[in-house]
Amino acid sequence: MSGFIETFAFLLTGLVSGALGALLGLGGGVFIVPALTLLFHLPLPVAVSSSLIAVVATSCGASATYLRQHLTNVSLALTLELSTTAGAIAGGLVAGLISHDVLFVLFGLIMFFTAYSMLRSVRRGQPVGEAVPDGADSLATTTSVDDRSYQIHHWPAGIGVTGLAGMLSGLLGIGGGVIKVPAMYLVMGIPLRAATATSSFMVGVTAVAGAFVYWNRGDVHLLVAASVAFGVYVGATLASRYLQRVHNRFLILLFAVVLFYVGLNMVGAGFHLSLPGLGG
Amino acid sequence: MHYHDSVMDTLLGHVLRYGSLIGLVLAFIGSVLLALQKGDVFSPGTLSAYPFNQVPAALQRGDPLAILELGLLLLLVTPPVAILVAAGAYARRKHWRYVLAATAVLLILSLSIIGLKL
Repeated sequence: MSGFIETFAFLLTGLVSGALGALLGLGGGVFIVPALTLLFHLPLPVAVSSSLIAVVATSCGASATYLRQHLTNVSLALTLELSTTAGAIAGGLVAGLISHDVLFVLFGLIMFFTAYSMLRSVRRGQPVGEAVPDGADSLATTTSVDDRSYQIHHWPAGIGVTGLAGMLSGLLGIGGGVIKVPAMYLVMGIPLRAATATSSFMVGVTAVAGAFVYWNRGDVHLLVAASVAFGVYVGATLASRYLQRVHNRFLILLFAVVLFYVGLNMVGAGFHLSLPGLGG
Repeated sequence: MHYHDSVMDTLLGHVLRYGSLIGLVLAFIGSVLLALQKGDVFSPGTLSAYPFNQVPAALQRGDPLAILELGLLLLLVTPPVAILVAAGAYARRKHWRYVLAATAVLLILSLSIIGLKL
């Protein structure tokens, strides 16, 4: 296969991942790493670094839109970034020391959690990317997003959880929004739309911290990273502009099952087991 | 706690949108030029990035790999530049707590950029 065809294949992978991410309200990273490792058999660090760079691209695009709508709480993002960026660097460094098998299993578990979040959102009738854990209703804020007067609670817990999300980002190449948004909403009492916008701004900065750790270790394949990042950016932009986010319960259920199955393949890859379908 | 500045929001939005777009377009152009070249560019170790200080010289030679690398580096420095812009906006309003937070984030990021190793 020539370099041109492979470049197109990676671009297409990014395009589909970006579009799916936008349609389901998830980051593209959760699709990119399994696709690059299970379908293209790329080394895990190359897949993770490509995913981190793609996360930067999608975060920049989405954050620009949220900032224009004045939904992003920049001061909160800066404060939480202290722990998140440190976590991402730690995650990136640790990823270079531990077995890839462990990382495959961890990634599979994150996919299970994402699939569970999708199923929970169906039950609650919420948009997928804005799913929150049980008990969220009791913490709904009484102030609106637009008047910016909401109070922020439980700083230490919020800083701790977002730091953990940063570490997972550096370890696995995901944005970590699936952890940050519920944490900001549930634990810190930030309105959901503001939490989503602020998380979107944060994941780009966090991913930069992780990406440079991989870059300096020589784990970035420039052509793969560029093809995937460009594809993800275009896919996410087109999907969010021209397609409706998926609210159909059956489709969300279907995607959750697919995500769960891919997660099983990632866990299987960690144990050197192969499941039918993805060639793990 | 929250300090809202619509001018800062707009400025940050522009930095993020156009910075990432320019970086991605450059990276895409470099990728296409590189992919059109003969040879197996996807084997492990075939596409090592230039050290940062060698990128300008490689760009002067018209090396597609350097164009690709410049694009990715532009994309990756876009969020830190946005943090820098936010720090400037907060400094103008004398919100020193957030200037300090932004500076600390930039310092942490610089550890990653200069190649912190365990």
